[in-house]
Amino acid sequence: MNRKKKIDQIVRTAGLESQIGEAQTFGTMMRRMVRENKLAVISFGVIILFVLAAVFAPLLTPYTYDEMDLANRLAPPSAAHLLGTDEGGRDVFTRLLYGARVSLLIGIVPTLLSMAIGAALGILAGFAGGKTDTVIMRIADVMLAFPSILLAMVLMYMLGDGLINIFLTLSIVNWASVARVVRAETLRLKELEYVEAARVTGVSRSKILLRHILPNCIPTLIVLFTLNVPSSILTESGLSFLGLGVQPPAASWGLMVNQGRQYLYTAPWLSFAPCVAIMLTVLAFNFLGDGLRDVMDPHLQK
Amino acid sequence: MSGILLEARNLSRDFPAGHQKVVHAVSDVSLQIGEGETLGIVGESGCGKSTLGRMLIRMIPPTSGDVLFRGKAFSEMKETEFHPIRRELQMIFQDPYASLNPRMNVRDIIAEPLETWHVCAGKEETTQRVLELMRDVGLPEEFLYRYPHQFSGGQRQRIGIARAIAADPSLIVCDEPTSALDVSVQNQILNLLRELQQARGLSYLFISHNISVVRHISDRIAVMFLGKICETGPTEKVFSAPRHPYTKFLLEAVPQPDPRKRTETTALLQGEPPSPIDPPSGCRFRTRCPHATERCAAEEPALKETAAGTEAACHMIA
Repeated sequence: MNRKKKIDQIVRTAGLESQIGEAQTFGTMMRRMVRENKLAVISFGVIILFVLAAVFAPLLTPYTYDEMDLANRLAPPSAAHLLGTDEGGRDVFTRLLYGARVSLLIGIVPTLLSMAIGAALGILAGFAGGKTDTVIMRIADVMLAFPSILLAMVLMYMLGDGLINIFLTLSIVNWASVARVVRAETLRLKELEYVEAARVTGVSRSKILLRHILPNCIPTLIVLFTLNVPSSILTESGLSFLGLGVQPPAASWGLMVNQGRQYLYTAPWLSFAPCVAIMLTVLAFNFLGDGLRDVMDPHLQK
Repeated sequence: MSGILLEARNLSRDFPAGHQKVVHAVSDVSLQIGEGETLGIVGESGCGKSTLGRMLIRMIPPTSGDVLFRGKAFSEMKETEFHPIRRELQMIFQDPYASLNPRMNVRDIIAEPLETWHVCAGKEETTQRVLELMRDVGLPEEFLYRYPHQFSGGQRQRIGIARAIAADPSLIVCDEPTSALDVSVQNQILNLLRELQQARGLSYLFISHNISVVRHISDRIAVMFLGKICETGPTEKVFSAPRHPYTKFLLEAVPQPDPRKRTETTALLQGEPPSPIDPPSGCRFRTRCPHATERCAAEEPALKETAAGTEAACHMIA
């Protein structure tokens, strides 16, 4: 067994193996990540677990998220209430599960949406230059000039409550910074010789964007994604705190952190549980993002 | 040399340099490249060689002047009309590290021109064609799905060459294709370029600052100084009887490997090259030329035929 490995090694280093191998596909990349990056796999597992917990929340707990039990206010964790109860006697574990529905959606959907908008506009601005660039970037500047929470408040006032409106608001607030970063990256990439080579070859502009510029923006986009997921979750909690996001008795992690703030000394579990949930989610996305970035980078192969 | 493939007529290109200043990168250059011919362009850094090369394949528009491909003027063609000619005019780049997309494997890089021009029907045929091209440029076929960073400079340059020849162009602008490579590898690449030329009837515009490399590969050469051609002619004639003082200096500056043939009195050019933002009046070389007279400051010399069968732009040549 060991000997066979050794022979394989020798054959490989001597270049005696004359097979072509296979091209990287999405499948081979994923298989490689499973093999080489356990942390990314575990992270993916954690995210799936959270999603399943959110979806099957009613099956996992005997309580409902708004079921009050005033006799049992601010109860510490126990067998009946795994993570204790809040100031209305509602089960924190149950609220955590239901809150995951809102918070995971808010962490992921507006982030993806704002990144899609920001990346598209940023690449367009950087690649087209001239007037297109000026118009897009001045709009982005205006967006960035407002404090983001203020902008979000104004938008929520205008649009009204509701999950869809929170998605829209967070996307509108976040796209500009994504566009800035992607534009800068595009400006750098489009001057590179391989982009010039593609132009000499006669490749169309849209293909240059899709094959040469966008794939080389992916590491940047992954980093932005992992940064924007927690920021979206927390912005939502800020909006909820101001009475503009999810309203109690409905639950979201951000809202729960805020609610628990008043009882930080007497009932720390109120804030602690959703904080840990947010942290685990953020870490999971971070590690998964790192794993995806590494596995897509040809330099780190083999 | 059968017919003329590409012709430049009075090509000039200025670049804005801020503060209303202008860099005269290329000024009034005319040249011809024949079918299957290699024209070498030599000159020091910043003399406008690369700008000239890119204008000839319409990657940079000229400020004035025109380029004719098989008699058709670029200036009379819209981008859509020019598009089929894009395939005929390819380029090999100086930096084999920057000219290959790090996220594409060799197959996809070489297949890009084949796909762009619909050379092959279907993926399978394209891959077969890529393998043939890899064989043509001396890359083992097991490299098919590797990525650029797994290769040496010379191998990367072979990938760049395979990409350039994939869609069967008629002219390739080689922009210093060997200057980033080891000397031993330079020769392999030059020989490969020559083999491909013979097999495919390619024309080259070979740009280099290395006069020995240009001599090795070119049928004719043009020596450029500060955006202008100062001497041009068949390679051996220019080398055996250089007429323009700048050409003479260039040839003298080539290191002589045989110590017995070395002379003590190698004349070296003094001073810095003049700025292309504010070129000297008259002859552009006059500020560095040991033979300069008042006439050189007043009057710009035109390219004239010399006794040796070359053309040189110098008042001192009778």
